[in-house]
Amino acid sequence: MISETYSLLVNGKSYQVVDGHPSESLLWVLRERLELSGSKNACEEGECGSCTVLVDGEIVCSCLVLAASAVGREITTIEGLGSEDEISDVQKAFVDAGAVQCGFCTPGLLVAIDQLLNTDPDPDDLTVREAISGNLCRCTGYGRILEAVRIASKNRKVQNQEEQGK
Amino acid sequence: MSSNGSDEYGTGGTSLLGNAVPRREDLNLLRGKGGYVANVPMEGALHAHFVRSNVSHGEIISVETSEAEKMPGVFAIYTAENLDLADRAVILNAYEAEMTRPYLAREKVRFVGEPVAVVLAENEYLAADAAENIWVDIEPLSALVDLEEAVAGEVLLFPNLDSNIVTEIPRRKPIDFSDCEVVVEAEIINSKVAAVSIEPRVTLASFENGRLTCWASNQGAHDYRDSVAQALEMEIKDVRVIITDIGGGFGAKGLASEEEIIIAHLSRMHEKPVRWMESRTENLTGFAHGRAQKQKVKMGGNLNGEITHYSLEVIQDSGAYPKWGAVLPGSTLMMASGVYRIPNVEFSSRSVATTTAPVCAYRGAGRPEATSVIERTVDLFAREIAMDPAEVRRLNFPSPDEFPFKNSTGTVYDSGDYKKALDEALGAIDYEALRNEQSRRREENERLQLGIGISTYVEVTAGGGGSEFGLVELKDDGTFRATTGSTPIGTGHVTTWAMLVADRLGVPMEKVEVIYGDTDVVPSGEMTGGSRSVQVSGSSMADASEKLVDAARKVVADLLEASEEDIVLNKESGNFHVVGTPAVSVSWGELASSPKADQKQLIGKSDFLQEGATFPFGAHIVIAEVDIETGEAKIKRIVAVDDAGKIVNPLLATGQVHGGLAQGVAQALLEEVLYDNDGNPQTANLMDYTAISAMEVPSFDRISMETPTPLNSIGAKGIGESGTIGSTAATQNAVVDAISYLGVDHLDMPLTPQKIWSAISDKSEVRA
Amino acid sequence: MGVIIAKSVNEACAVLAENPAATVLAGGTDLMVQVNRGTHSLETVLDLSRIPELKKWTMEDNQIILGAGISYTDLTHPQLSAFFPALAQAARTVGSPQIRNAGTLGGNLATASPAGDTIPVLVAMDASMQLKSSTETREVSITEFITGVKANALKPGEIIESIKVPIFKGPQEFLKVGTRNAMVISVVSLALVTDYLERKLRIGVGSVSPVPFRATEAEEFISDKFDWETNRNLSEKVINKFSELVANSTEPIDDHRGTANYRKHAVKVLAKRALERVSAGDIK
Repeated sequence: MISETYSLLVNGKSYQVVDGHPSESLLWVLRERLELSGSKNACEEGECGSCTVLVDGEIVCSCLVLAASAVGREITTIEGLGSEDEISDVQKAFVDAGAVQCGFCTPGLLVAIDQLLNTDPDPDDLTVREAISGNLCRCTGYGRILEAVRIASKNRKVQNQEEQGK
Repeated sequence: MSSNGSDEYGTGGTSLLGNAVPRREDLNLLRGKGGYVANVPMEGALHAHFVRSNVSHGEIISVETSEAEKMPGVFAIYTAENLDLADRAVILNAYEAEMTRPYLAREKVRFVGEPVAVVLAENEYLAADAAENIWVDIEPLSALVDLEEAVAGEVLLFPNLDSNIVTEIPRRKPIDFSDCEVVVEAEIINSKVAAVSIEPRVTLASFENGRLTCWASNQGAHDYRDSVAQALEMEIKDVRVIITDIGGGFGAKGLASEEEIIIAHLSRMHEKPVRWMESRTENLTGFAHGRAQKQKVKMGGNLNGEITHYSLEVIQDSGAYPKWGAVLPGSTLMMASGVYRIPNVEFSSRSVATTTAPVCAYRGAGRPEATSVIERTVDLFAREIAMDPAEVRRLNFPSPDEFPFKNSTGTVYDSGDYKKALDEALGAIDYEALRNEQSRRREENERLQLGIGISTYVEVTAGGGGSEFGLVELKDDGTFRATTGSTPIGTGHVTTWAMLVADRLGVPMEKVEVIYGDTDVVPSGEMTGGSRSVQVSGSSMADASEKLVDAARKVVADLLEASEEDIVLNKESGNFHVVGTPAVSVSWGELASSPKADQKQLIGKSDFLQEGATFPFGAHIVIAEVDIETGEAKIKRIVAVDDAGKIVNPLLATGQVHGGLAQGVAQALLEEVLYDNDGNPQTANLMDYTAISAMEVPSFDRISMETPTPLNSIGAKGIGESGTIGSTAATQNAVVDAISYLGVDHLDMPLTPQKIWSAISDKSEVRA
Repeated sequence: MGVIIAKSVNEACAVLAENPAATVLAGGTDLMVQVNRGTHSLETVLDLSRIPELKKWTMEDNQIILGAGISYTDLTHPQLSAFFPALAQAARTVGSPQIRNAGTLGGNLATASPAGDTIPVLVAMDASMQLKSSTETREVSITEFITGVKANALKPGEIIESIKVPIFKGPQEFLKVGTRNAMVISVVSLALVTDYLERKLRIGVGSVSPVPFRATEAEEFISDKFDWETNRNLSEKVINKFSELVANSTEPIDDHRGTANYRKHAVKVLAKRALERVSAGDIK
């Protein structure tokens, strides 16, 4: 059997993958080898977005990334959002808006929305819908998730204005 | 002192109840630290992979496993031959034992996706590789997909029985339509859909020292435990089920499925932990589907708009092996006449077996089917007599003073004000202006035509009533531990229960810890489903809390050397005192630590029993736009007026309604489980099963009405399913309304561009 | 051998010459679905995603040469979409943001699905492809490259290096009908590209035949009727005739996503709409 040893850079930290099989997806390696189980496995065909991570700053489905091909790339997962002590502003907005129900799709959505707001701090409704169109949620009907994005976006705007005011 | 209400315990402060309280469950979920089964660590677990039939109906000639057995990492392979597990008992005694599903297909396969063999291996890749090398030889038999053919019974799924009919509800008394001035008839398909919880089925079982522990993604820990114990012929005390977080249920994840029981069985057999998680394709083809009714409907009445007669004949697709789906027409029957006062109603149903995956409960389970068909038919009736569909509805509602209202199939609705719900919804959209706009677009022959769809619904929640275990205890540190029998399924029980307990005890909700989902810790519990949780399980929490307060009053009376009847709880401060002398008080904290108090007494336990079902109701209006050139339909807006009695946490209730609305729109427009004539699934992944995304859902306008039920102290009815129940029909009605001027009376769901265009073009050919 | 991350086209070709059985990985959006399903087991993988040349685009003699590794998202960036608005429109309708970030133009062509969204546009524009192996570089047209349903003309040892697309002056449109708004597989797609200098309208159609194709009869008819200088108001009769001709050139099939009849009808509507939109734009 073919096996490989390589390292991956996840959330700023280097991880060794020892004796990996070439067929392993990044999602599988994150969950099963690196014990980063925040990214969820729900379809393994790029249709649901539950496994969304950032690779070099862009959202992708980690189930469709060959793990061994991601060597040297900067990978950010849900575990890279917020800090030990504090959740991020988008996570906070999810709580306030009631945007979490079963929570299974939530990590993927958070990664996608955080990236959206980092590149477009004040997106309109259609932009937000497009940005999360690859993330299926079965519980919320997306209503409160859209509201969470509005809250987070508004908060960022207020914060930016305050910072500029100083 | 009054005998009920919050005044009983003295001054009530501002209650938490009715406020939008953010969930306390979220923190772990947001960080990706949810307690889903796949995240439970387990050293040395074997991985299971099922080999499934790729033939819809056939005789198994052979299952060749020898090659696979020699493959690396393979631990064992099982087929029906060596699984050594007795067939499962019949559910609800609703069908012939002959129709019982074997755990692994024996002699025959009856749907694509039916498990034939299972591989246990060191990891999932090796298990899958070995499964690829198991050769199943099946001699195909005729598939049975069409429901009429299933009824006709030329092809029999179970040849020892002379029919494919699983169970039926015969028509009690035929009704006579001959006096009706107007009669409309239709054949309507309520399409087959899939629940598509984002987390597929997943389980982990570990047998150690004579005890089996199952980590499950299921709607009820205790029911799961009981079904595993029964199947494995184990004592209930030897089975423990743990459910921490579940990635969505929607009705499909009730009881343990065949595969999950096999995993438990294999763990016991080998005394090793065993894991299994299904793929999305297995989830879409091998698990359970919902709805799937063919309905023949007839409605009669007079030209003034009064509906007097209603007949509904249902063929329910049960799939290959009967499960809950087979008995769902019972719920359709209960709600058959909907929100209307119709004196003459007849109903019959036949549930039939087909060579497709078993049909199960899916959000609403039997009631959306009832609502959709009657709401569609009311529109047909209105069209026939050229009356506004809103007006026809108004004319036939029972008035609020008629409640409790007994409908013509014998169901008693507890409370309701259907006209108010409809008028609220119509007012919110400016109905008249929209109708004018619709006329304008029709006259000017615009490409985008407007449709307005109304659905007024009543549904049954906590069907048959039911009870729930609840226990509230004061802990040493002055905080509280609340134990619930119900299993949260992403529905925010923990937050809601903490609110209810805190409200009854007069303490901040942060002081209340909620325990659930572990059968070793929670003595008993019921399955979450049928929108029962707040009303039954929540009431049990409230009731247990009140009992704790009563127990505490006794202890406080001893401490203060006063009479128990004179002790009151000030809910604002959380202190007990003698009525009239608040200066001398005992706090919960003091009670917890006082050496003089007997803390063992400080518990409240409830097996709250709700005597009957409750009947939430509402009106949903959908505004749709249809491109008459391509047939594409877009939903512009939904207004949902929902009355589920008293709302405990509007933030969570809104989330439930939104989710339901989206699933209703999804069935009406997009989603359908499809099989070809040979019984091959056509929607085996999420590319073909077009689950609704953020791009298709409209914005939701929710208008909350609160008509309390007298059946529980909270006044709450259920709100988990009503969104789906109203919106499905409203969406369908809106799209049909948009193109009705072209001569289209009815279109079955899902209303795909192709279906809409075909209907329009057929009509235009007729006109030409 | 595992995964080999090539750093240059030459290196990739050399690796492939040595390991003709290696699996070529671009964006992974098609390949990994097969791998995850267990229908494609990987032994040696040649990863093309880190080759800078394949990510670049250059202009040469009024043509743009697009590296095969350019993603759908890249195609929607203003710099590129200014040259090929229809290609950008097509790219925008592919899958989801996640898929558009990962999926590449070269990968879309190699997969050669009848429903591949960029292909009708490239076909309309007569794009050509540079294929390279360790021994040979050759250029083929898109229509030569796509040989059937999910079949292409790549020889063993060859990779797609770039796609050469002529720049046309004039408005363009890409339209599609699918099964939902996001993550859609096309039921029908159509691209209309104006070539003002040559006085020609070019039409590519997808999902209505085994391979995307140009509706040449309709092109000739409408190019002739089009008033290229002043009055672009086409009569309803001409528009209808044009869309009939486009529809008649298709050979759609029935499947669970759509019937042949509907596909034929929808392509007619899309042709009409594309023409109306193009003639409403600034022609020069």
